[in-house]
Amino acid sequence: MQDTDYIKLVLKHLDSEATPAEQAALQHWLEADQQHRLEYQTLERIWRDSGKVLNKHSFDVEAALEKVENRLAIPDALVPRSSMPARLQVWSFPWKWSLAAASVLLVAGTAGWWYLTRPQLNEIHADRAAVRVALPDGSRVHLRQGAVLRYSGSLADGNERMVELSGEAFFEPVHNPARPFHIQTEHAILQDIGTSFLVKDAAATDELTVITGKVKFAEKADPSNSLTLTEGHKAILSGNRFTVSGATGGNVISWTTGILDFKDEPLRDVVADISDFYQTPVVLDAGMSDKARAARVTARFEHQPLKDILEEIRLTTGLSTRKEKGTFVFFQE
Amino acid sequence: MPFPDTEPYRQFQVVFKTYYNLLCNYALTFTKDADASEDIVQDLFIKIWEQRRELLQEASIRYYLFTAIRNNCITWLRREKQLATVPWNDHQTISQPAYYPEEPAEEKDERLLLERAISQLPPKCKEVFLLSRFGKLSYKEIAATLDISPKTVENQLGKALKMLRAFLKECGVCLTLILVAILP
Repeated sequence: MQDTDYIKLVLKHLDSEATPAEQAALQHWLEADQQHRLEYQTLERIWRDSGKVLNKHSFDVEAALEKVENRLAIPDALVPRSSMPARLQVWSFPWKWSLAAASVLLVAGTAGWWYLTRPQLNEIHADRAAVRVALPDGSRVHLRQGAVLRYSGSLADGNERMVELSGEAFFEPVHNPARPFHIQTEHAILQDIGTSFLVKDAAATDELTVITGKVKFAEKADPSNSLTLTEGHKAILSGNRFTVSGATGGNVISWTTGILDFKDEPLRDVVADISDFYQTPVVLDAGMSDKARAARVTARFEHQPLKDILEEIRLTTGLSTRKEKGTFVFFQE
Repeated sequence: MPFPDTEPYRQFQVVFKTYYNLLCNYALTFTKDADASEDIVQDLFIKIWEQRRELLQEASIRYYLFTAIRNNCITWLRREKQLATVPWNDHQTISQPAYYPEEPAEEKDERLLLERAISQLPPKCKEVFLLSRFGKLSYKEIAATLDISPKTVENQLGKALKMLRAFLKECGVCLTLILVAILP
């Protein structure tokens, strides 16, 4: 038998591709000579070792899995009921961002927690990804990754409904004037006045953006210090001071939709939105001209990795990027 | 907690853990860039979860994974060539040329020798060999991935093994003797 012929037979045997006739031929060849058997073992060893040699670089699988999990969208149908507090239901119908039906509001602030002392505290953590939940009263909440929502009991007792938030969330409460829906953050109390809303709780400030409807925004330490915010407005509570500004860009709730939409917006705002959306610092170089900062960008990104978006912006603006300690910096060459 | 502890996700984790390292190593043979390899593999898993979750339960998942990684690596290489992209400062390239060991002092190590032998296979031959040894795909699957006939796969693999055998023989690593010593 020629070299190549027996090598192929051995190979097909090792790869489980040999036909019965080929198996028999191999067997015959092996029995014919002790040297053949040694040769078989050598070939088998090369075959086996090459698999090991090729797979020699060790990647950190656990770290990679965690990174991937953070980027995964979890369909409602897969959010397990078992890991939710008993009274929570998974929201299984498609989320409709119909702004006509209700009003929407967004708040921000973070920090310490205060615990309700009433029994049966329900907690929902969005540790690894955004989570959508329906509260027992039918209100809907979409928690951004990192957010925690707490409430006591079934929200059915007492004269009001109160939940606590740390982090950022989008609320669509079922409106009931007899039992108003309240959200507490560390520094503020929010009350919906016939609306649905999104709340974000960050560091020393609380930020509320009303997409539709009306929300009462009060300082927790002094509830008489309050204002009523209407749709298209944003308010920041810092200490005991409220700062109100006009309508925000269209991307405040991008994290709930996965869509970033820019219509003729200045680059500096675009970069800020991208940075917020990906929770990754993206900045403009300190030396960049005002003109370049104000360059207009029109683009729409749906569920795209950050890398692709940065590249798209590089191509349209002619800017370059570098990475500095985890921060992406756009700069002019 | 709380990534969903559900059957489809468990399946996803199992497939991820089973193939991640292997796929990254396979991608590395194309990109020679560890970060890029990981990105390519991670992007593929995200795509599978978001668009082709049903694949996770199929026996052909292996075939799908390796074929997809190969295609994505080729796309990546093409793009790298076209776009003179700005390299990130912390961009890590594997400095140790896994497939081109040069140190003659190490030649006694048969694994290093084998590595070198594989790196010196002719390109087409090497590609078939890598799909076979990494992916453990059937000849038919390799043929489909590379758009060649199963007979060509068989021939190329035979050629690869023959060349590796000859290379090792030439280098004076007497595997046969080692084996004789081990045998009773």
